[in-house]
Amino acid sequence: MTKHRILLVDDEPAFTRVIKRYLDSVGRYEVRIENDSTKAVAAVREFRPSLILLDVIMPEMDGGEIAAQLKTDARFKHVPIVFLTAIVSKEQVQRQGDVIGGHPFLAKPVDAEQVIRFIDEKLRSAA
Amino acid sequence: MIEETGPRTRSPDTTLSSVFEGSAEGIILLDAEDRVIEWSGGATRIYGHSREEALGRPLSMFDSEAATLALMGVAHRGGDLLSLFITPHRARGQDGRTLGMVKIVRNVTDERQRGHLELVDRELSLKNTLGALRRSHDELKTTQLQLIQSAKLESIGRLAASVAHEVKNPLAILLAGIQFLKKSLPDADPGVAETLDDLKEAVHRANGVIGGLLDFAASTELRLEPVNVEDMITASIQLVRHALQRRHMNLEREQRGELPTLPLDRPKIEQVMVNLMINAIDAMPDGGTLTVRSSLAQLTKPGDDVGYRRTDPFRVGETVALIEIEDTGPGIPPHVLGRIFDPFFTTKPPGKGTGLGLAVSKTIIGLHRGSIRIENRPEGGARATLMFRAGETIKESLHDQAPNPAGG
Repeated sequence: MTKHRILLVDDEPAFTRVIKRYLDSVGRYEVRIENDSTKAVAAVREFRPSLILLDVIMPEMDGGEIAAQLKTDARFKHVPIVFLTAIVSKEQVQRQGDVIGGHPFLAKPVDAEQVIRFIDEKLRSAA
Repeated sequence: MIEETGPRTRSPDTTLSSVFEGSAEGIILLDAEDRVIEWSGGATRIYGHSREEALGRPLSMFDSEAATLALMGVAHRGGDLLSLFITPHRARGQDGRTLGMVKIVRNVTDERQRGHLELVDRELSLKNTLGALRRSHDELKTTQLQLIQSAKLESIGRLAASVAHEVKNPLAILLAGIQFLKKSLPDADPGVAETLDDLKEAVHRANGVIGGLLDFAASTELRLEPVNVEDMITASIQLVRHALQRRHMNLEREQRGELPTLPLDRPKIEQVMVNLMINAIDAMPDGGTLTVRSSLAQLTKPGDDVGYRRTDPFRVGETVALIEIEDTGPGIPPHVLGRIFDPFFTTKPPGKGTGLGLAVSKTIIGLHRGSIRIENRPEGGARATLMFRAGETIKESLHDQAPNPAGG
C-alpha cells in the first residue's frame, strides 16, 4: 500500500518533529516537514503532497498567502489543506464555520488523533 | 426759601440756596461738637426729620453711623431701613482750627437693592451655568470611562492574540508530545501513564485560560439575530443540567409575562447565562435552589444605569426584559462585590476559574446595550440581573455598532 504524502508547514520545529513522529507511528503516511514558510510552495511542487497541514501565523509568509498561491496553480489547487492555528478560540472556530478560505482548520494545541481523523476524512473526500 | 435760624446761621444767596434745598443729597453742617447747624431739604427727605427738629442736636440722634467718620450711614424711616452714602468734609478756619463738618448724605438704598437684584440674577445664571457644566462634566466622565474601557478591550484583544500565539504553540508541542509518548508506551508503568494524563490535563487547563482570554477579546463583536428569550433561557439551563443534577440542586424557573423576541447574539448571551448559572451553582456546594426568572417591567425611577439623560443606558419610562438568576448560597462578601467584574479577578481555586467569566459577561451585555447587576439578596444568597430594552429591533441595535470584522 502506498503511503499518503503529508506536507507539514509550521515554523515551530519541535511541533513539526513531534507531529511527524506521531504520524510516522501510524504507518500510513509519508511526512515531510517545512519550517520555512517562504519555501512552502516550492516544497509542494517538489514533494507533491496528498494533503498539506498548514500553520496560519508564520514569519515572512502566512498560511493564507501560501494557500492563495497554491490556488492559482492548476496542478495543486485541489490539494486538500488543513489549517492549524493558535490564535483562535473554540468559539471563533465555530463562528468561522470551521473554515478559513474554504479550508478546515484545527485550533492548537491540536489533538493528534483528531489531526489523523481530519487527514483521513479529507483524503477520502479528495479521492 | 431762606430761614433765619440763629446767630451762627449764614444766609446763602438764592442760587446757592436752591442748590442747597433742591439737591437730592442731604447737606448737613455740623459744629465742632458735632451738633447740627444747618440741615438741607435733602436731609429732611432722607432722614424724615425737619430742619427745626434737627438744628442744635447731635447728628448721632438721627444716624448712629454718620456720627462717626464712617462713609456708610443707616437710617430708619417708616419701618424701612435706608442705606446712605456719606461724604464728609472737614471745615477749618483760617487758623487751621476745625470749625465743624459738612456732610453730604446720599440715599443709595434703591441702588443697593438694584445691585442686590443684579447679584441675585448673576448668581442664578452662575448656578445654571454650573449645573450645565456639571452635567457636561458627568457626560464627559462617562464618555471617558467608555473610551478607557474600549481602549482596555482593544489592548486586551491585541494582548490576547499575541499571548495565544506564544503560549498555544508550546502547548501544542507538549500535547502532541504527551500523546506521542502515550502511544509509544502502551505498556508503561501505571505511574508513567498517570503522569502523562496529569500533563495532558495541565495542558488543557493552560489552554482553557488562553481560550478564556481569546473569548474575552472576541466578545467585542456581536452577531445579532431575533432570539426568543424563553427558548434561549431553556437552552442555557440545559447546558448546566449536569452540574445541577450532580449537586442535587433544585431548579426553579419563573416566567412572569411573555418576553418579546429580542435582537441578541444568542451564543454569547447563552455564554453569559451559563457563566452566571455556574457561579450560582458554585456558590451552593452544599445544595440549594437555583432560580431563573424572566419578566417584563417598566422602569419607574432612576437608579443604576437608569436615568433621564441621553447618556444613561436606560431611561425612566422604558419597558425592559429582565432575566434574574438567584442562588441560596452565602452571598458575596462586600470586598468581592466591588471587583466582581474585574478581568482576572477570581475567588475560585486555581484551575477552577480564569477570572474572566464575569468580565466577559459584562462586555457582552454592554455590547447589547443592556445592563448586568450582581447584588446580595436581602433574604440571603446572591442575585444576578440582566436587563435589555424590550422594544428594540435589530436595526436599532446595530445603529450604534461600528463594523468590526473578525480577525484571523
